[in-house]
Amino acid sequence: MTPQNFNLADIDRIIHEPARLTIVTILNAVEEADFLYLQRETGLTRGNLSSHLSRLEASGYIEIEKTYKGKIPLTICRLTPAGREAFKRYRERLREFIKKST
Amino acid sequence: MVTELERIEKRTIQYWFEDGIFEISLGVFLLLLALVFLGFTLAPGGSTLNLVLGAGFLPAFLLGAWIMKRLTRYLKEKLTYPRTGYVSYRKQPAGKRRARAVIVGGSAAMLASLSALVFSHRYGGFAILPVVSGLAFGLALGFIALRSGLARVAGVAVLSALAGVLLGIAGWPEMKALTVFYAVLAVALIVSGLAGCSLYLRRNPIPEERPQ
Repeated sequence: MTPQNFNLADIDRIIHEPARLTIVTILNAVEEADFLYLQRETGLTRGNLSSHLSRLEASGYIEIEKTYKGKIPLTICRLTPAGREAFKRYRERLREFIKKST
Repeated sequence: MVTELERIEKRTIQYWFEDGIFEISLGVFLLLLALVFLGFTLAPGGSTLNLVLGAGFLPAFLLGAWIMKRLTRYLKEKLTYPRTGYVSYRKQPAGKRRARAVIVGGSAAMLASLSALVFSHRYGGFAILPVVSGLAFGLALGFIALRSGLARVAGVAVLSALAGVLLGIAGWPEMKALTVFYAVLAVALIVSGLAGCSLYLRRNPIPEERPQ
């Protein structure tokens, strides 16, 4: 495959969107993270982050759990096995594309 | 773009270290070790206290490691998570965890055996244990500094190596030098951790309303 015939349609568009890519990259590096952490690290507004998380949840890439840590309410997000696999595939394709285009 | 993804991943590792809590907990653990070595220094060779300390070194080491883990979790729940969010890191596979337990236990047993060995033998005024400990902690902290990008941890790593070597050649009795080494390293880590923690708390007040 060369950059010329690299089919962009093969790229996972759910993950490829920059904000969602940042979220998935963070969640791939950890077991789970809460809403506050994701908001601080991504710099997104609450509404924007909620919307992206809902999209990822609807795709089956993340699961969201509302819980408590002591008295603190937490919205915890974690990648599902399907989400990890999708991110792995996305990254491999990205690497392949960069390698062949340089 | 791949580099940017790697930067984001590295940032999640830095998050564990930036609040200074890890350094404080490790410092408390090393302070406990320094107290055990102080006991060795004060107890005459062959005395009951010396034997008890020798036999109890490994359990004390493991207990200290457990306390360190609990203290880290407690402080993070109280200070870090309400301010900048909760993160749980991926557990290593069972095989790797077992290997790590063997390495930690083995290191404690080796340190105890070496301590017992050198307690009665001295090598021409050169204390080997502080040098070995200083370089080992220097390397480990240097690795953490590299991964976390924290200059203060790099400073403690250099101090560890320097203190170990200087105490090794100071001509002091082995156990006294080792006690001073662990005390110095513990204080340095606690001071560095408190400085980091204080900066972190100033920069990150608790949000008025938790975003949910």
